Amino acid sequence: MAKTYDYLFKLLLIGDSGVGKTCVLFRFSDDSFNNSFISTIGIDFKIRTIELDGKKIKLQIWDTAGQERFRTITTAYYRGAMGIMLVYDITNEKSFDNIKNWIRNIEEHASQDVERMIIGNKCDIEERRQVSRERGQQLAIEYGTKFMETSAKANLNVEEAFFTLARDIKAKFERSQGMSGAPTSGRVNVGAGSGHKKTSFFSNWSCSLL
Amino acid sequence: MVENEPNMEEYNNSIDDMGLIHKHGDLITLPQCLIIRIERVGILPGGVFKLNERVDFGETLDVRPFCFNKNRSLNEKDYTDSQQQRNRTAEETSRILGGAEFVSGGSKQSPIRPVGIETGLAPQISTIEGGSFVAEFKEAARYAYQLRAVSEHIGVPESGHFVTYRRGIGQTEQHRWHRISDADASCCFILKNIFLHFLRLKVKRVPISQVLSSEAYMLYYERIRPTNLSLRWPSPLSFNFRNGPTYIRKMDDFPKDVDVVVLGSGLTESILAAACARSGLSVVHLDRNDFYGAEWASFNLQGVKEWIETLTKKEENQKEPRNDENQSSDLLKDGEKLVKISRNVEMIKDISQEWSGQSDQTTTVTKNEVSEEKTIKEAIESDFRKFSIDLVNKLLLAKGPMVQTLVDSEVSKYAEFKLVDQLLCLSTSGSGICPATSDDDPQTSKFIRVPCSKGEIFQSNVLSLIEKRKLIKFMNFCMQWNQLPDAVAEEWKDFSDKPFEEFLKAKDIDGNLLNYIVNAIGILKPNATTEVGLKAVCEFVDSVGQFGNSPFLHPLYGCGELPQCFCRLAAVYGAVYCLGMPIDAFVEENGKIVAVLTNGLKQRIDCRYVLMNPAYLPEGYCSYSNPSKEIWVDRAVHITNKPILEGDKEKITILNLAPLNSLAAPRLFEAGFQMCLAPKGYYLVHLTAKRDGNSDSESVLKTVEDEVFLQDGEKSSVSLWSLRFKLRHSVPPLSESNPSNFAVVSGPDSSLTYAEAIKEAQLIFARFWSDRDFLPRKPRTVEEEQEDTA
Repeated sequence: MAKTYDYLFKLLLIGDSGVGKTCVLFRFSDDSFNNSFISTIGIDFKIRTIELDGKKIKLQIWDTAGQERFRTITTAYYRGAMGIMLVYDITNEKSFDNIKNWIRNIEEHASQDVERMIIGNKCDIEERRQVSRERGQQLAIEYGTKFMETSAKANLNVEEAFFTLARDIKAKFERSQGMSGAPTSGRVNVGAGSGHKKTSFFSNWSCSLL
Repeated sequence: MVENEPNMEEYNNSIDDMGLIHKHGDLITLPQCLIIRIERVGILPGGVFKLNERVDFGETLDVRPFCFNKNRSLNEKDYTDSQQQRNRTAEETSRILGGAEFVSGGSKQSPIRPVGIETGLAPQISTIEGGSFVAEFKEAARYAYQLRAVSEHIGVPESGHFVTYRRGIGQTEQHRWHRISDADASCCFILKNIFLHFLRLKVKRVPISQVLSSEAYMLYYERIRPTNLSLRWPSPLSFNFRNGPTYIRKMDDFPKDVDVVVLGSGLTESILAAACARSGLSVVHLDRNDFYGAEWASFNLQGVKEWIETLTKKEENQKEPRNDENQSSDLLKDGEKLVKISRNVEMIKDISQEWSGQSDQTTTVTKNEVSEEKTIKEAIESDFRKFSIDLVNKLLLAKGPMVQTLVDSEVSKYAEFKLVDQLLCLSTSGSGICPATSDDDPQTSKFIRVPCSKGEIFQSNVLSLIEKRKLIKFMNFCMQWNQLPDAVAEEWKDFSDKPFEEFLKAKDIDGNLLNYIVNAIGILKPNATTEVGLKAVCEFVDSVGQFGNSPFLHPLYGCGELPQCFCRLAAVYGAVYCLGMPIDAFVEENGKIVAVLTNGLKQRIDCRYVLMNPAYLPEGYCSYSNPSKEIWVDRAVHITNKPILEGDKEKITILNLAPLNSLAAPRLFEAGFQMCLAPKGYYLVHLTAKRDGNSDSESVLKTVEDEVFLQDGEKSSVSLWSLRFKLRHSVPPLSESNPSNFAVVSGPDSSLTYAEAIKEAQLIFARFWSDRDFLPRKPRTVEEEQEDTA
């Protein structure tokens, strides 16, 4: 059957409990928002197909399934991820400080060439802000990532953030396709020459169990 | 349909072309308690009859589609056209209806009293707690109802029985359901207090699934108050909010009362945690280690080092007596007994790690186009993250129970798999019938590449033409045997309990072909009798072609991924995870474990069941009488920079080494970069052998290593680094007087596949929850179906 997309990107959301990861996810995938302060169960991943430069890109965005609550994200969660959104809450200093820990976690478990992006969520609640925009930017520069302040509630920048991340991954992806061989990480870059109809890095090799 | 008719506005009664009257009604105000009666009596000229149709209902109900809205057009579709539209209409609805605070305030006299009807429309938004309610809670929560009770009628209209299911009251009770039937209550007209007493005796706890599958007559829904939001949903999809996420309220602290506490995150425990969470039980899953997988974990090279360090440290700690007797008395209630968990059951022993002399040789490493000279050891250590070293090494049989479970539970989507694309067996050189040959070097190779599929058999140069014919003939016999074993009885019955080899020889199969059938195909069951051997051949043949030309799969990044994948499923269904958590003691009462004390005896988690890894067994629960009866798995892992059988492409290899020692049945698995287990150019060689109490299998693996590694330098692969250890499989004998509500899983076994682990998990699950499904497939949402067809 013909594929309805050109690329499939696996993205992750990472950050402290309660910073609004699930809200960002739902804003982007369903354009909905839930204000209640509750932690996630039952959310696995969400899918949205976007179009960039005439290419249909299917974004598969994984939520943490609440496993970040006691810092028990499985290492398997990071496997095969091409982009990671690091989310903190601008009204919560601690969640901002913890971004460094999450980055360390990513460096340990995720692929080395994963695209990262830092997001300061809840920027609609200006009156309770604890982390200035400048500090966010500074941190992003420090780690060489892009930065954006978003609000899932007010629907600010969420769309832009995901599009930016997707664009960066796409650029990197197409660049590495041009290069022959030499995968930069443990990921097997199989089928690189087979053109744009790739579903995943392992399309020709892995057996998908249905 | 809805009982509180005064609360409703009927706006559209119509008759369709079938002559059926469609009655629509909308809620104007939201009652605190919504009672729905399902018409169960049909009337025919001859009399009445019972309508037995099953009516689907959920544990929660979203009434938004049934709410009256002044801006609403008569066209239903407007409601669902877009999310934005829905949000808007819902918001407006709420302005008319008012918030929950108002409703609950007015409902004190009677739960079913039509609320707000006296005042006509509810107050404006500003009067509802200064609007803070609206600001704080999403519309979804405002329109959410939770099932409180169900009445079921069994029998005919004239007679029968009423059965009531009701939800428990209070924070801890609210996930439990109770069933009361009048079937035994012959004296229900007796005085009220006696009647109640009688009923109390007959209350039975039932799972929510039974409630939801009942033939409901009356449904009692209660409006979810903001404080009530912490209710748990049985499964994400039974939740009726369209597209809505499933939520529980964030708990500031750790759960204090759950159905099941799972201790240890090994594969079997993780499968059980997933199965429990999936079936709607509340689960806390803890591990005292700070990594997932317990004895089933995988580590990178650095991780192995740390793992060894903590294990040796633990041993030292254990020698010191712990003196914390009185610490936890304040967490104990009257009549409860504290049972301390000391780390007595050793799950892993005899660990050693070493670099071989070969690792001091220099190699050229090119990184970012800069080449530098390094010793092999340095090169390996600098790439330590790219290694994924499994403690347990197993394969998935394409048609085996593990793959089945992964597919059914959809855990398979959390991992990726590759085929094991090279099956080897030791050549029987010297037999003279068919000299050992391999594609590259017919003289020196000691391994034969074994063909798997029919196509491969025909192309193979390992087997002669006559052997190929014999093989196909034998395969056909196996298929026949599989379908109708009795039809071909005279051919095999005499051999049924005799060794498989004898039977094959009687069938005129010998030499390499015999070797091939017994050791390559028979890898599933070493030392088989004829019957077991035939079964193994059938399983093997059945699995070939399922995903490709090999019957075996292996997860990318190693077997340590699998427990984590099941943990994720459990987490998706609400299980709470915490690693690195000290597990200190159990609290026993009336022969049951009623709580687990953790975190230095400071924290108490009440529970109904405990499932655990043997490492958490308290001293009193088991005995250590006979070490010779213990079963261990012998393991060695080597890093090499050359495959054991070189070919044009990197292969993923399995080799049965049972001929070297039939009792220990050692086997070898080799994979590297392709399986994401090692950096490019390096390979992991896993050796696994069975070891019962008495055997001296130190020498078994030694023999194997000699066979595989020590050959004429240049040509063969050389071990650069090695890790050796033993894993406990057997659970120590349990005492008779143990609590009835706990189960211990055994450690990893030495067999090739995951069949044992799955079987054990299923048995334990069935022991406690025989009325629940084991990891059923979730119903597909419309979204996913579109996804699949796309």
